[in-house]
Amino acid sequence: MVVLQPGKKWDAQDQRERRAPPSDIESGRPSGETWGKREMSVRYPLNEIVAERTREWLSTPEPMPWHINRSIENATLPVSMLSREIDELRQIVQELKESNSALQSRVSALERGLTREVTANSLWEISDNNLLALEDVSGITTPPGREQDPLDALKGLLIEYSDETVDSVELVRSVRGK
Amino acid sequence: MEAKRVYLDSSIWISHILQEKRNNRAQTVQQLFHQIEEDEGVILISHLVLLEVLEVIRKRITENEPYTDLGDDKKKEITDKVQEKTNLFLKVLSRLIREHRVALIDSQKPVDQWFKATYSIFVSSSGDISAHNYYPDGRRRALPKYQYRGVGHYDIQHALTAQEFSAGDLHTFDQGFVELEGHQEFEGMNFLIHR
Repeated sequence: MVVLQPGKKWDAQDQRERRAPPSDIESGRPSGETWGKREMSVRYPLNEIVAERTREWLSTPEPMPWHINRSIENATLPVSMLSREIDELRQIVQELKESNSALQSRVSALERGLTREVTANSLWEISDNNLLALEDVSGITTPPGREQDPLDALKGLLIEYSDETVDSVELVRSVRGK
Repeated sequence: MEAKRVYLDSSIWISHILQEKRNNRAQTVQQLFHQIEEDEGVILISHLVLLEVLEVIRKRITENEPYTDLGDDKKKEITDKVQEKTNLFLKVLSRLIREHRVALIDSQKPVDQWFKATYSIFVSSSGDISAHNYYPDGRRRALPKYQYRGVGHYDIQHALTAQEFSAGDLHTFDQGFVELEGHQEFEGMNFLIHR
């Protein structure tokens, strides 16, 4: 149903009767211009007032936790509420996921740190045990009291198998299967 | 203050025993040993490194032997040479370990955790694909060939072992370790990749 506002009603009557606005209105200005001015003065202030009141009403804070759906169309009320609730829950789930992930990382880091600490503290115990195992497997015994520094003794141990083309990286890669 | 721990990759040991001339690597290793001594640091050697070094010794001696024949005597001659150098290496290393200048280590983690950690780093690393058009002997190929270069699972296991024993530095000549630099698993450990 179309409801004519007062301005529109007046316009419609004028147009039906092909009647020009009174010449004395708007201080004798040309008729077209005067006609337009009259429309503005009746129609727009009313719209503005309605819009202003609507804005004021919408901007009033809603009491929590009750949500009042202020939608003009009643049909969308449950949908918009559900959508909003879903969005809020999704947000909460996301936040929980992030905090859970952060906690998991922290626990893993602490576990790794603890293992490392225990392992690092028993370095020589592990090393001594490994040496015993190595000597046992290889049949090697370590004669004490040699004069040459062991690191110097290793220097050039395979010098007769070396040449200009030797590339230690390639040699290691060849046994790493690369 | 606790002694600084330094993990040496197999390439460092190989370079030292072969006195590698490429890029003055043997000198680099000598300076590295000197620096560790001066800092009263501890060298970490893993069973993985030890086995790789022994395997290189075995292959290097065999492949450098001039060919005469392939009889049992020749095979025994080569095997004896390998055994002699292997024993020498192990004896000297044992002394270093006994003197607590070198620590012989291996991971204390259960095998399933060890491989899980290796796998998770491996799959998060993609490596690089390049193209080359030469055969290993220098001849030019008719068509270029793609080549994959990336971190290998052994590299990861070396780094994991070093990290487990709180190594401050890992020294290597292998550029493949570049990909492990900055990985969160190895936070706090420096990868010193020499040329």
